[in-house]
Amino acid sequence: MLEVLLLAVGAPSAELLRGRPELLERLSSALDEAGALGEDTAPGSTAFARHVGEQLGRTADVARAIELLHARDLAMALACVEGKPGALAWMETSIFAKLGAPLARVDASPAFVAEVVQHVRTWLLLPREDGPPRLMDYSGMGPLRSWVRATAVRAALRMRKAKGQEEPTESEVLARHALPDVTPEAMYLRADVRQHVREALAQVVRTLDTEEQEVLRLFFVDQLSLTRMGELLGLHKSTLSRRLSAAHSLLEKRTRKLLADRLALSTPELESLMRAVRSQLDLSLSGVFGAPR
Amino acid sequence: MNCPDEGSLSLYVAGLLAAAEHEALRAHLRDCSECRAALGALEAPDDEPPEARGALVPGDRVGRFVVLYPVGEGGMGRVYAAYDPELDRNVALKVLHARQLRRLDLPQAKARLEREARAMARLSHPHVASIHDVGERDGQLFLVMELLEGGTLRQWLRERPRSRQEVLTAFAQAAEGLAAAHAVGIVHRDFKPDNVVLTRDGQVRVTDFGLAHAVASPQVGAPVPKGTLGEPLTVSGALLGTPAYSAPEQLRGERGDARADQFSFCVALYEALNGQHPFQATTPEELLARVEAGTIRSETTRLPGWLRAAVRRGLSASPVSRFGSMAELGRLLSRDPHRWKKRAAALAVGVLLSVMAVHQSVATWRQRNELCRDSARHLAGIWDARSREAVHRAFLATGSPAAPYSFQAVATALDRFAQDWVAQHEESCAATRLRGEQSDQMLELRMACLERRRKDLEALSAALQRAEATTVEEGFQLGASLGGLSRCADTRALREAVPLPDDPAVQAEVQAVRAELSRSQAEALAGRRLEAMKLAVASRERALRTRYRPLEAEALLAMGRLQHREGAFEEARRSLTQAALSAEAGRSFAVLVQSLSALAWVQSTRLAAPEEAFHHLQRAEAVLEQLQDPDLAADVKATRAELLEAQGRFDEAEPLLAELVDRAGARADTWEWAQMRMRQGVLLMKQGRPMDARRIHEEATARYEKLRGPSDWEVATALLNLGATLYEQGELTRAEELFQRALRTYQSFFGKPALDTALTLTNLALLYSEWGRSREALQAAEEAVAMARQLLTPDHPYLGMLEGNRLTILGEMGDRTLELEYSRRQMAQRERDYGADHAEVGLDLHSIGVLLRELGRPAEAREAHRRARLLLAPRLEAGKSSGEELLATADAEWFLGETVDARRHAEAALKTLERAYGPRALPRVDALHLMGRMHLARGELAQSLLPLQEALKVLTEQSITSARTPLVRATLAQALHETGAAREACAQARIARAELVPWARAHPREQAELAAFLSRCQ
Repeated sequence: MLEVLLLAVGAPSAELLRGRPELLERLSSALDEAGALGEDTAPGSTAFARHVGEQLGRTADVARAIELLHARDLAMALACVEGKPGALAWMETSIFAKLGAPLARVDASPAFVAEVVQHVRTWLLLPREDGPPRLMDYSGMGPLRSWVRATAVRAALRMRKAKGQEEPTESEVLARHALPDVTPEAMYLRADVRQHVREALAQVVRTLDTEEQEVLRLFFVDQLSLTRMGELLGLHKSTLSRRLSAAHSLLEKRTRKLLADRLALSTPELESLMRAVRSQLDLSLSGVFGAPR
Repeated sequence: MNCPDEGSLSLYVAGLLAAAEHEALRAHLRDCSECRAALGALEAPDDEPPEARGALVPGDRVGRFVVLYPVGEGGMGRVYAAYDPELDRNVALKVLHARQLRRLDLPQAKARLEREARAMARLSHPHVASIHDVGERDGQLFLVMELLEGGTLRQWLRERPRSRQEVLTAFAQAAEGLAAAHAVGIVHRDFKPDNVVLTRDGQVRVTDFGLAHAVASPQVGAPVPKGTLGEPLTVSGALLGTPAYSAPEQLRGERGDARADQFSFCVALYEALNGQHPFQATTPEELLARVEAGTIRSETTRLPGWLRAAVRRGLSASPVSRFGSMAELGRLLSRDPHRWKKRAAALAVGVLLSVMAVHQSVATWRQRNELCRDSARHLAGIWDARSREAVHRAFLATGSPAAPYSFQAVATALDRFAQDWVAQHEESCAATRLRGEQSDQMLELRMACLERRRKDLEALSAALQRAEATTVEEGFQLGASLGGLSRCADTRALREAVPLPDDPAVQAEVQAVRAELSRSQAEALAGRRLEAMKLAVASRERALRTRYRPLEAEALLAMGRLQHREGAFEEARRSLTQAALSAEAGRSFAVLVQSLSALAWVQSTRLAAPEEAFHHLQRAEAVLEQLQDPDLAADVKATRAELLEAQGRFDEAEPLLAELVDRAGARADTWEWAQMRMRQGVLLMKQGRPMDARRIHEEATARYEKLRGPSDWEVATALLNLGATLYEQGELTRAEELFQRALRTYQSFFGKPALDTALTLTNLALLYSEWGRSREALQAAEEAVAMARQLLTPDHPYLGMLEGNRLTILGEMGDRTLELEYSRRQMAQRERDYGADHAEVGLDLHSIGVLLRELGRPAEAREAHRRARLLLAPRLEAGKSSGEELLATADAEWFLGETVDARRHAEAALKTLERAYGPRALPRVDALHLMGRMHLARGELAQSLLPLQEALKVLTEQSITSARTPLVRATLAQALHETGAAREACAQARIARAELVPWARAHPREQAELAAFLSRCQ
């Protein structure tokens, strides 16, 4: 089987691999792992060896790729395409069933989530006119769940756009994300106060400069890690985190001031309100930024 | 560029794209929010709860470490005990919560942790917990630490009131630990009582140095993000540490130095000494304001001036006003002149296994700061989600089909126990600390009592985690056997008990023996009686040597109970008698009551000494009157019910059982409820009320099925009892179904001769006999006897009963002599059990009379009937007779020629039987038959036909072909003949003759009469 794999990986990489027995060892155990999945789950062994080889062959650094290879996930993906019932069941329960939370960030209505999941299911599993199902595009670099999650979030954004819903009003977005009633703090807030908070946040966001908005957006809306943000913006992480913190405390300071003016609260009341706001700021902000303005 | 697909994105994330592609994608990402969202989703951590993700099970490997068992959970992470094969030692693994690190760069956090760990590794100090190593597993960081067995300082403080000296001894050690860390440049930054462990040998260790700081999330939404930002190690101004103990500079978002630790230390010390937080505040903002204003609450206890001043100095808002160093404060505390005089011994420590730091969120902080509100933490690691799951796994691992059901019962019982424990712990704390209704001494007594019950629970939880098949079996009754907590609330009893001896060595021995007794009890509850017995024997010897009477009593009681269960009744009686004496001497009244109650039970049910049994019971009840202990009261009540039942005093037992059923229902103890319900049903059967019994048995059966699954032996027992009520009601077909089901269950469950199987067989035998299947009936009855002979001693009452059924069946087949002999023995036994004038004896005597009639010995029969009627008379006059008693009376009177009374009583019997047995019951058929004969004798022909036809209809419906049927039919034939329906009469008589053939030997007189009757027919 290893030979099949080496054939598929392409000559230069195959040569490199033949000189690195420890990598061959890892590949061989990856193939074994797939084989051990059981008859109704495991993909065909030759097909899988070829598939692994092809995926590795596409990368710029085959050694690193082997290090990052999620062999089991890759085997599951292939087995799904082959129609193995065990793999399909796993896909449903371990992957599709868990899409609810990430999709809720785009739109929390159950109907929407269900629609997106159904779309993703067909999109990934049904063969295309000109090729195999898109699940075959999964390279095994990183967990399958993350890959499907990214696909689903993208699909969700596109579906909203297609429905002409790409520009929800801020209050709608806020209503969706800000201050869910479940937190103890938020329960204290009367509905009208909650509305004030939503409006204040949205208003304050508009007063921030582009750079401040950008870091907040990347962090809260796109949910990028500091490392990734640093990489994208070409900034050192410490600089970035300083900038992020500064933007955030500015946001908070202005929100506090605005609320103090509007609601004429005593200091302890305001502090208590701000604590409630703060505990949900993460969510609230993703709401504010959720709509391009 | 077009949007890249997820494949390219993941290669981008992995750094596997060629440089040019990588750059192009990066440029695209800056502009495309959709791709950024996809990228965010790709890199997002899994949203699964940490429990699902991070939970390790025993045997899991983390790096080179092998997980042994979970220790507990704190805000920072989950802690496991683990084995390090390389260094052959046990360690604690603290796996940090993924959510703590959600958005934090893992390598960065790891680097920070490693830096802290390295610094800590430089420090080896007796009052600082060591960190050995830092590692990473599946994206989760873990710390390898010294495994400390003990409880946290907070638990220790809450356990019971601590004297000032005790508090100072503990805090002085903690101060030394902090000072040593400060000396090498390590600041704790989250000092609080939860981060101080008291080991079992009384050593104080400060844990989690710098941990809060090292894993602080850069989450920008954290509280009070003001002040300094961008420090190399704090990504944001996120508040580190726990607000309640944080120094004002930390509350303002500054990093704080060693003097911040000093402030936190003094908050904890003030709280330990005064039972309240030094600053009155409910929010961090308020707290900061109070601290800055220096408004410290006035001390609630009288403290020496120097101590008060020292603590207040450490609580200064400005760091420069505090002590120059922790060491300086520590020296001051150690210099307390009283310290070494009174207390050289190590601190007494609760045996909680825990190394936890509990990170307090702002939301829960307010509540937790209240006194007497977090007793549940004492049960961490003893009975919490994890130990529950460990028990669950252990049960399932036994492979027993009853395991899931048994676990449910066990978990319910332990959950309830834990809940009660927490409620009582908090209540007791509040009674002293908040409401001031209870003295400190009483608090101490109650807490000591609760502590002992907590240790019982701990031992039990540990024993259950090693479950075996027998554990699963015993599990169902655990709720009933575990005992409650009411004795820990019985202030009077607690006060009156003889206190512990002064000698510390004896005190320690008493504790040790009690721990052993807890384990013995736990092993017994877990179904390992042999182990339980071993421990009990050992602890009895040790207990006797201490000469501390209450302990002696406890050990002897434990011993006696185990001996009882082992069937060593004489030994049990001796142990329990001694236990009662020791308990009396030690004024341990709860143990006294338990011993007497157990003694009464053994004497009554096993040693057939009812008078002595009642004597002990009455003493137990008298002692109980002085106690306020509903658990014990129920225990004694159950004994009384049992004793009454054993004496045939059913009417008196009835209300007691009803109370016990209600109590079990109120406590939601399903097994106990079902058990009591079944006892109630059996009692009702004995009272001749199968209709009522049936309803109750149906309920009990349903409950058992739910509790233990449909094919469990205890369900089979319920079915057996239910079947018996159906049999009594004449619903033979359904009864047979249930008997067969019970039989199948028993056979598959026991697979070998078993008493329960024998009981089922004998019931089936009776049933077959009614259906005229005498051979099968005899076979089943004989099998039952043979089986029981293998299992029981020859004088066992069950054996007598099984033998009796066999002889009855034989008797119906014609061999009456043996049956008569058996009936006489049976009656003699009943006379001994119930007393010679009991109504049951009257019924036995009546059956003997009937047998004598069949045997053609009318003179003897007459004598038997006369005596029977006398015995039945008192209840008859009191209007309390059961239907069977009325019927027997009427039948006897009829035979004796007292026709007026006989008729009156037969009518009453019929009414009562209809009510109590239902329309299809065989005794009702007999009553109808008697009525028919009476009417016929008086020439009331029309009236005689109705009951006879009704009786025959019932018999035919149930396909009953025992002798009953032809006998009723023969009477009907006579009645018909008298009314002039000669053809029909002859037809019925012919059928009757045919039906009687199998029973001819048993009923020769009736056979002859039929033959004579038929000779007049055409």
